[in-house]
Amino acid sequence: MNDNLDQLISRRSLLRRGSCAALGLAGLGSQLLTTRSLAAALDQESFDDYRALVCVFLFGGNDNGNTLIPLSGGNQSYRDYAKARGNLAIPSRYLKPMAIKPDNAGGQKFALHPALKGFHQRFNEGNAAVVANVGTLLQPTTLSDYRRGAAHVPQELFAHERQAEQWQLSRPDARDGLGWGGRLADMLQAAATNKKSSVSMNISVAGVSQFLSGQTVNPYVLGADGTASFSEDEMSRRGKAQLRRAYMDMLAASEDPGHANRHAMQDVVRDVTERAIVNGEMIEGMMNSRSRIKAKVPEENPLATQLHTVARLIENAESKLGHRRQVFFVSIGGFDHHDGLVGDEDYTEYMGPHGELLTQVDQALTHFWEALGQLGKRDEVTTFTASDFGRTFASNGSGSDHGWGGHHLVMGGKQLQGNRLYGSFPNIRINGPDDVGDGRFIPTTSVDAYGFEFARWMGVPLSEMSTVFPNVGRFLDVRNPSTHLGLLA
Amino acid sequence: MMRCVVCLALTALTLGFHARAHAEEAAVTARPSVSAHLGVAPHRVELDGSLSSDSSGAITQYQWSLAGESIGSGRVVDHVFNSPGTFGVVLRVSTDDGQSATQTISITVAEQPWKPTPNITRAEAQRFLWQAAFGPTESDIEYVMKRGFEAWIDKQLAMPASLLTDKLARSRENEIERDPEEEEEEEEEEQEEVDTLILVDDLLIGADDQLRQRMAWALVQVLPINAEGAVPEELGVEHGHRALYNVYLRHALPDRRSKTSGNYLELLNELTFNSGMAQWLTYKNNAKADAELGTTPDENYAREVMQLFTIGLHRLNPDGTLQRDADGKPIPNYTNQDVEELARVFTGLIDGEIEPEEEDDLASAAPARWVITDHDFGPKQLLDYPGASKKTRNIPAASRSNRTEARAAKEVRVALRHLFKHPSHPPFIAHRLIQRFTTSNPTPGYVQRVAEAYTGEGPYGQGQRGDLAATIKAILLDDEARNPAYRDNPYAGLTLEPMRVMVGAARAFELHQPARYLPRTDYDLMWEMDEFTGQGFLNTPSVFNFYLPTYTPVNTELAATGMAAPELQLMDEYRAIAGLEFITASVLYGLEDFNESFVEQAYDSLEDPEVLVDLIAQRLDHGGLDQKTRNDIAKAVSRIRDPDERLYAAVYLTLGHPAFRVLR
Repeated sequence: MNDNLDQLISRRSLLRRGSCAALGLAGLGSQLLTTRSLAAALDQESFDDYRALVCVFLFGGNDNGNTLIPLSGGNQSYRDYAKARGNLAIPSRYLKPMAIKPDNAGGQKFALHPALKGFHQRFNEGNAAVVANVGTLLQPTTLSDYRRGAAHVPQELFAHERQAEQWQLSRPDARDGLGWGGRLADMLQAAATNKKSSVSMNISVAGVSQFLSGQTVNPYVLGADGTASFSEDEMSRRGKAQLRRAYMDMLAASEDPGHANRHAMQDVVRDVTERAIVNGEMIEGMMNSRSRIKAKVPEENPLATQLHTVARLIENAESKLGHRRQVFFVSIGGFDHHDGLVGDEDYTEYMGPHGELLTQVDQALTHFWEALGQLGKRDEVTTFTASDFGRTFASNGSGSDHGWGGHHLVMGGKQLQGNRLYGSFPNIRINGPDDVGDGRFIPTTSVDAYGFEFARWMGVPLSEMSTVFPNVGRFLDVRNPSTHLGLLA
Repeated sequence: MMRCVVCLALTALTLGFHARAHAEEAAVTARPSVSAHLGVAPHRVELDGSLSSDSSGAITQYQWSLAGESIGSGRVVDHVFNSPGTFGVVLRVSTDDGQSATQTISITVAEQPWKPTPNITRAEAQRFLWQAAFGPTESDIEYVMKRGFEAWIDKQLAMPASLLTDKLARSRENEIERDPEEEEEEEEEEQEEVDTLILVDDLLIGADDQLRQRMAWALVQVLPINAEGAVPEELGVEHGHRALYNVYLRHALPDRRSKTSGNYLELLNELTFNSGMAQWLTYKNNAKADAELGTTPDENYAREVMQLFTIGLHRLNPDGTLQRDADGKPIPNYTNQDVEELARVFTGLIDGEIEPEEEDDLASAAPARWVITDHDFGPKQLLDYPGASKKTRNIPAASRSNRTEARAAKEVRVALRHLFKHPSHPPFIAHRLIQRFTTSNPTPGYVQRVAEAYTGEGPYGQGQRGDLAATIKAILLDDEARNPAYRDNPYAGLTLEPMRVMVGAARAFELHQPARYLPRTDYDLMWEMDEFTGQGFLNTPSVFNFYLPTYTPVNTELAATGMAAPELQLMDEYRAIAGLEFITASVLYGLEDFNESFVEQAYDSLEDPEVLVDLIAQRLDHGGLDQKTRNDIAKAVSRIRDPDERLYAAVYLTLGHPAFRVLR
């Protein structure tokens, strides 16, 4: 027993951060539920099923031009693509085996990047879909709006960190740093987590995550391989346990309100460390427990390692973590292909650094899909990609520059209406009606409309959508399904 | 076991929550900011509640109070603090639908500005040397106490640069006892490893010219490179480490031997012409537009050299605050067209060539060369700004006879000078450099004073724009860096980044040893540092560095009061423990290998945690490890029953104490 339990109990920090804030709420009655978000969540019964959302962030800005390529059957063909892309175009012979014919595209054929073999197979099996030309918007925007420099065009377009942030916040005009994965969890956590849970329902295995940060829900961060510590053998097991408790108490003592040295950065160090200590042993035990996942993690694929950890957390979600809803954040960097978008003599013609990264993504997704199959969780987990921005369709010689709208991949079981292309594929003509310059396409689906699909599936009440996505009403009518993408059942 | 504790604690937590629940924890949030959270009495501030928000209703009332007394109402109010102290101003916002929220922001007022005094305490010297160096040594402490802060800086400025060149040659002579049976590829990998270790050990930890080492480490975070991503293929990774980092070291401060004056523009020029940078930011093999192929120049460097290396996204006032248009929106410094135009300047560069006999000339980074046919010699008009010189803004077309390498190089230098002269540049750089040395949240006044020094003005300026020596003096000798009164402010100072904790601990415990020993010890843990701490040597994940200058952890007092804490981007539940365990293990290995006398002393004190903790805290202290904190650590150490485990525990708990992690 912890002899400083009293100090532990009064930890405002634990209440403020992490899903601890939601603990035991159900038993406390409505007088506590003064926030609209929590009240809304509690109007429902606790969830009786499990669902998880996995955001795969492709940092650097994935090249949309070579991710989804028009082939034939529509008003744009491979020839238009080849003309606009110039030396970045993937030769058609590599694309034929990657052809897809989305159910809802009126016979139009596209191809996926040749690296996306597993995704291609799942697409054809109905377990994957693509959402075309998604990006940051303040409201539906035309080329003339953009040219006029209209006030409702997002600021700081084409700048990496600003656009990566706007994607995660869904609001180019936001100033609070809260992500839509966090805000949707705010709505769900009371009904999604039980008393035993002391780890947040939002978990990142890729460092701090704005996407997962809500007003009451803060993400919990695990190492990529799920371990919580560096090494085991510096101290005996007993010594380690003593150290853990001693550290906890020392941290508590350092917060003594009478201590004149209060410091806001120290508070953060303390809060984070306390959460890590409280949960570390349980997580370690969980990660070392037997798993039903037999699929082997692809080697030298950090994204696969992260997704494997996510699968382990999903496996233990209900039994050990007490979660019926979870949101995960994983990431892979290096997509800033100003150079090496397609291969040179060292590679097969279509590969190159971009192809290699997409191969990693594809293998990681395939591993995750296998793992979910072994867990029987395919119908309960939806995985989607996000990225800073799309890239220019025009070539800069050997790569593409920072663009705007981009195509995104979604993977799921029965909940997903797969084998489809959602949103609207842009006109890829350089200086065409969708192009603000060099093939930077104005998004035809906003991040809000994209995220809305996932939030709805996770169980966020329609009445609360304007809190999760404050701008969503500018793009669709939350109560009129015909205005939705209709991605998830 | 732990599980049990957790459950119990959590059951109790719900009660705590009950007692503490406020009607105010609602969708409305109060977010006060202040024009200057530090200042000398009488301190006039503007308090601004504009960042407060409500998810549905509108905020109708802003009430400001101090110690229960109203000091005004309205979105923005002025207040004057006439007496010294730290004051918590409370902003209460209310909405039209009857909700409200409060947030406190702390302002610290000093009685008088800091002035150099003859008597410098040991504690003050230690704190200074954690800012200006990678932590103190005994001789530096003595020097500062005897001669003062500025004298120490002047002494440092006169020191010749420690570069990797000589050190590496020495280590090669000794040719680390390598296992002859090792395979060749492993050898290459190991060489890379060894170079990193030598660099960190001999320079960051061991070099006497600490101010330069700190400045170079700061600059490599302003102009971030990743050694692996920035190495011309034919040179090999290890060359990238050495040659590239030497560029930063030579320009960080003036150096007679290198014939450098310590100027930011010279650094930027040399880096721009460096093959490594050209590879890292992809302007190597960047060809001018080709209508037939439908290609345009690569925009990468043009964009990042503006956004990250010189002027930033938005127009700044001389004090670093944002200029705003009539609608209150920040004003962009450039358009995409400006990026495209500038991109044309950075065309035609290819890898530099290293002559075989020069391969061991470690001081020289391969300068990029030109392919004249690929350079765009057409006329260019660069971005406009107030006071822009026509001479640098308009680059005329080169006549046919003038399409030479020299002309192409001149275009690059002119373009960089054009950015260097931009009014946003001095405050932009001043803010970033201050954040690397003394505080994450400089007030506008501090930024302006440092920016002045940077432009060659003010008490430290010598008339040279880009003067890094003047800049570092202005950073370290400012009232805001030195005045002890400000340390009471809860946003003062900065969180030490993992590298500063690691290197600082190594210096504190005298773990520096000649490089030849390194690979045979567990010290090569350094190589894995980034895996556990999020930061390593020359391995930034992107040109955006390990953390963003504006990062602030959400749902904290820092975020609510508009304060930044870049280094906390690396503070998460995983790294908090894994990073601490990693650094502690490194220190312990190092102690066993390199500082036996300390270990003996420590072993004699295992039964007496207070003595043990004092031994450690004396070496590590930068002002945060006061007596109460030391007692708390000692109490914690005493709970480790097996005395043999107490040295590890004491180092762990000291390095892991929040008061050590924040240099205030």
